[in-house]
Amino acid sequence: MEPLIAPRETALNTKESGMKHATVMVYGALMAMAIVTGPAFAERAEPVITDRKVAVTAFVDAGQVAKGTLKDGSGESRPLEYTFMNRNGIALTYSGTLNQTLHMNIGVGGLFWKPVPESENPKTKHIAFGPGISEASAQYDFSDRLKLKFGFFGYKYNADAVNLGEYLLRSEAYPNIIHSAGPGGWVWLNSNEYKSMGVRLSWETFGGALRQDLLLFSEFNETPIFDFSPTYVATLKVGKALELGGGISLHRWLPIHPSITTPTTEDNTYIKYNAFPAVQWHADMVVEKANGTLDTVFAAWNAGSTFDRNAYLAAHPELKAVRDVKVTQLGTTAGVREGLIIRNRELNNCLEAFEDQSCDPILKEANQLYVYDEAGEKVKNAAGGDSTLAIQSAEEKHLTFKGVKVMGRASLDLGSLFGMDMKSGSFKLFAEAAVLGIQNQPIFYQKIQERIPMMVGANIPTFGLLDLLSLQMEYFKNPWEDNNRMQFDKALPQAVFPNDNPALYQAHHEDDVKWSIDLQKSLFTGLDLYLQVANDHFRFQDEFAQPSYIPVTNDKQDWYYLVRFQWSM
Amino acid sequence: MKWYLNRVFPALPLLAILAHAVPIEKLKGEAFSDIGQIVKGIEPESNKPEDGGYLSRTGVFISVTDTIQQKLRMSVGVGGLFWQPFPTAANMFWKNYMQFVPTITEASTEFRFSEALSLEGGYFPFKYNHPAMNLGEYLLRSESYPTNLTTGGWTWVDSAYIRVFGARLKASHFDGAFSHEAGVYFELENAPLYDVTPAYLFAWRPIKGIELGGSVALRRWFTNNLLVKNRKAEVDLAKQYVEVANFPEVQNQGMVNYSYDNGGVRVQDSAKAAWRPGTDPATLFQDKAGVQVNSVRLTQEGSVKGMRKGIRQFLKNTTACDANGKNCTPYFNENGYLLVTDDNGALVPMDSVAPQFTKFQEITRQAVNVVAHANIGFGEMLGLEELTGPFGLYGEVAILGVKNQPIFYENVFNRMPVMVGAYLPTFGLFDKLSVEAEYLGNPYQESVLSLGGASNGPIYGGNLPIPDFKNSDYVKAIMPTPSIHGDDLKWSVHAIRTLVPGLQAKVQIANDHLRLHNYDAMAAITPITVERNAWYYLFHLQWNL
Repeated sequence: MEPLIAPRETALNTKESGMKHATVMVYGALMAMAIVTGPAFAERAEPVITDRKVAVTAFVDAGQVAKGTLKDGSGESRPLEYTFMNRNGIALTYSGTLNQTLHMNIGVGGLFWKPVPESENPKTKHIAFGPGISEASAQYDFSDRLKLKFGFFGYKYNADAVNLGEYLLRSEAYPNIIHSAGPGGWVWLNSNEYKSMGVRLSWETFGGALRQDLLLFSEFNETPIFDFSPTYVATLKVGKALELGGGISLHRWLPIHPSITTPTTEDNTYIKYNAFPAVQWHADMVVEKANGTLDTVFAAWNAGSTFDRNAYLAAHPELKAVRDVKVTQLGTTAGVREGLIIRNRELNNCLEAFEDQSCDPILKEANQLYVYDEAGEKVKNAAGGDSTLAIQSAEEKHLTFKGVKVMGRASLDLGSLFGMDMKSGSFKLFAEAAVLGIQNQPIFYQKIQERIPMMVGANIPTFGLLDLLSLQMEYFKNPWEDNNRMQFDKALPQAVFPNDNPALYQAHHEDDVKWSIDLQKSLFTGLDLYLQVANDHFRFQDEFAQPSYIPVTNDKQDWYYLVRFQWSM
Repeated sequence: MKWYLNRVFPALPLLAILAHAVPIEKLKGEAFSDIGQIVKGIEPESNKPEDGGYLSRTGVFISVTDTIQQKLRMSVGVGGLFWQPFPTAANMFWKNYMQFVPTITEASTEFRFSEALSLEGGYFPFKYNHPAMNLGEYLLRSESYPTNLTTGGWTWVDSAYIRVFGARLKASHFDGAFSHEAGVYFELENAPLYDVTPAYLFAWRPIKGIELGGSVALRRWFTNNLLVKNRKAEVDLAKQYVEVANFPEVQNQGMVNYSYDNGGVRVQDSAKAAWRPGTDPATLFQDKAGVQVNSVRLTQEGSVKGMRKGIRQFLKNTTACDANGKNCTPYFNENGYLLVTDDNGALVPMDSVAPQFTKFQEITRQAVNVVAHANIGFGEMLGLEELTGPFGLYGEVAILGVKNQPIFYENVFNRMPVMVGAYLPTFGLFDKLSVEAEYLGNPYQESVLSLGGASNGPIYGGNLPIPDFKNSDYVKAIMPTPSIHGDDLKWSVHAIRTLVPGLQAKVQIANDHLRLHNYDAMAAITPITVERNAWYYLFHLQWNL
């Protein structure tokens, strides 16, 4: 059981297998403790089973994307206006209690779903069926106040959050990805919780006023799969009307594959140089020729200067005007240069400015510069290879999926304060905020305030018209697009640069504000109606069950609506 | 059997249950969570070490059993589990993300003619060696030609049984001291699917605590896969044993390592060469002084003109080459005729004859499996079980194919797995603690590539009753004779502890036949624990309602 320690990982103090062993060992230790401390020959008498019941729930969702776009995460997009949304599902749960202490829920289910987008692939033109486990949990009550639950189950700490919120577990820190809908995005409505395999130890004190949950969930939906996140959540009820909550999650602190949770490859290694050569600016320019046609041409100019349109046009009399300049390489003067190793290795300088010719790479390796003579030719060494010059890095660091997330929330029951009865309906104000990663990381995550989503909401009394009317709004000043392509496709804890080019980066704030309106109404005993109108983090699954990288509602004006009929028995 | 009958038959009990109101007490639920690690293993796709690989599965099963008028017992169960494909690749959706596999755990019905006689049919668990926790259960949980054993599957722990689709008539006598059953079972695990295996089993419990059992299975005795249309002529040469009476003289070919004198200095050299059978390869190097042949690595074994026996695929690969082993011509021409050699072993130009097959035998998947098992429960015999917990010995031995077949299967001992196990007394620490060991001296790679129906590169067709060789071996003129014995010995340690009623913890540590499923839900062709020092461990938490 020797850990695999590659030289580079050793140098950067990251091990492949250490935590993985730890993870399994923790589980094993818990099992061993349970075995050793359990009663010898646990009671062989037939256990008494109470509360035995079978619950069946079925639902039909139907709706429409009023305005939305499906983006493939790398720049391509297709409008989804008026796309019909439909999912039909059932869940069958068998539950019971053994000897008054062990509560079990064993449930299976499945749903019909339609892949989006539709393409030439016949699979996209058929309704698919996805079976699954709705719950597989057991809860052991040590006492009325101390309970241990384990298995595959849902966890929800913010009862008021109908659609948005629940950030502590239902999010990624690096990159900052927020999820709405149920686990994996499969169940769209009435499923605003985190669900995975794990353990929850709940302890209630002060007559139930303070509840503390210690959680250890294993990640089931997002890369890296199976990482464990130790989490603590506290809920405090102050009087009849106020509820406060807080939590901290050591997100992915027990990784299964440390080298995946913290990749040590060049495409995930930040490097900073203090004595880097000058790097030119490069750009693709849209120019208008003398005959009025448009063309795209390359241009380069030295760092420390700005692009001189007049000089460029003077040098190119065949051109009439420069319409647009799209920078493709960020220039820096000699001195400090930082970035991912792989991106730095793509840097080059071109011999003649404004011409796309003879561009020479600057770096051979992360710590080796090419040497050029005055004519711009690579200098050869005695062996006939390229001469290089060593360059020291001032700082080197791997980005990681690991993060510390903290959450705080509050809920004020105005209905209770004002003495309104239950028939009036819920009347509450509530809010939740979280820091998705308190540590800064280079390049992508340098401002903590850009990793703080905030949600405010209100339940509006309808005096019997509805069972619930909830309004929620979210603000998340994240300059990166809500795009998990790097995490999903490349297993890298990074936000997405357009075409993977830092020079093309533009802050994206069109998706900073999200909102959701939710209505619930019991039509008949066992039959409920739900309506959700929202601009949230909704993602479709394609024919391979892969969720879209970017939410369908990625712009300010995007929204969809969904109606659900749900019946249970 | 028609396909629709295959579907309808297992559904019959389900229909019966739907028509019958079932009390909720008859419902059983089970959920489990597995976490573990491959401590040392080989990943079959890349053939690279997979030390430290993480193992996790989470599953649920819900089943219902009811008996109508004390005569007709019906059981129906469904379930499924979350699993991650193996090998994983974090940057590939298919190879990384959790998948779910649904399943029917049981769909069976049993009619009880009397307390001692019943007829069971449908899809149901099949287990005869009750103490076996992981290894053993060879009768139906194995393949004979090629020899291949199975453990686990989708559920890794507590799975020393197989689910079968079929029917059996069960009877017991002498107050249950002697029981036996006869059944027919459709093949559901390995291609060709739906072959029918009749089987007979008996168990005799002469005194309390002792059970002796035996069984015989006519594996794949009836098959509906014979009528494969459009079969090409070259199909399945690798499973044809032939004896050809008029085979031309075949050269020896190989790499000859030799030394010679070069001006008083002894020089080592080697050369590819071809020489007539019965001649000394040293004569090939007459231009060198004092030639001494040190070793010869044959790539083709020569034979004199006349009878030649062997697997047709490898006979087809024989060639006649020049003395340097180059410019080779196959002895079989493209029409399947044999070239003719003269008295000097040289090919006669433009001459060929039809091969005279004096014997033609197809290697078959059909087999007669016999199994014997014995259990001695010391704890039960001596009345100590209350104190010690289960305490005893058990074992099982099988012959997977009593009949030898040419070339590939000529030694019955290579097809004889032996399993011995023991329940160790733990005086209450565990419900059960068992240790099992298995030995199978099979010289071939434990691989299901042929079984799985995949075609083997140079040979056409799948479902072949032959061991898996490397693709490159099938283009050779000499059949490889592997001697892979690093996987002959398997072992398993299994512990169960009830923590509270309804909740059990189990641990399994083993080097067994664990095959993990890839992104296409196909089990790996070789076990992850393919080497002697390989092993894994699993913690299994299970709760039942």
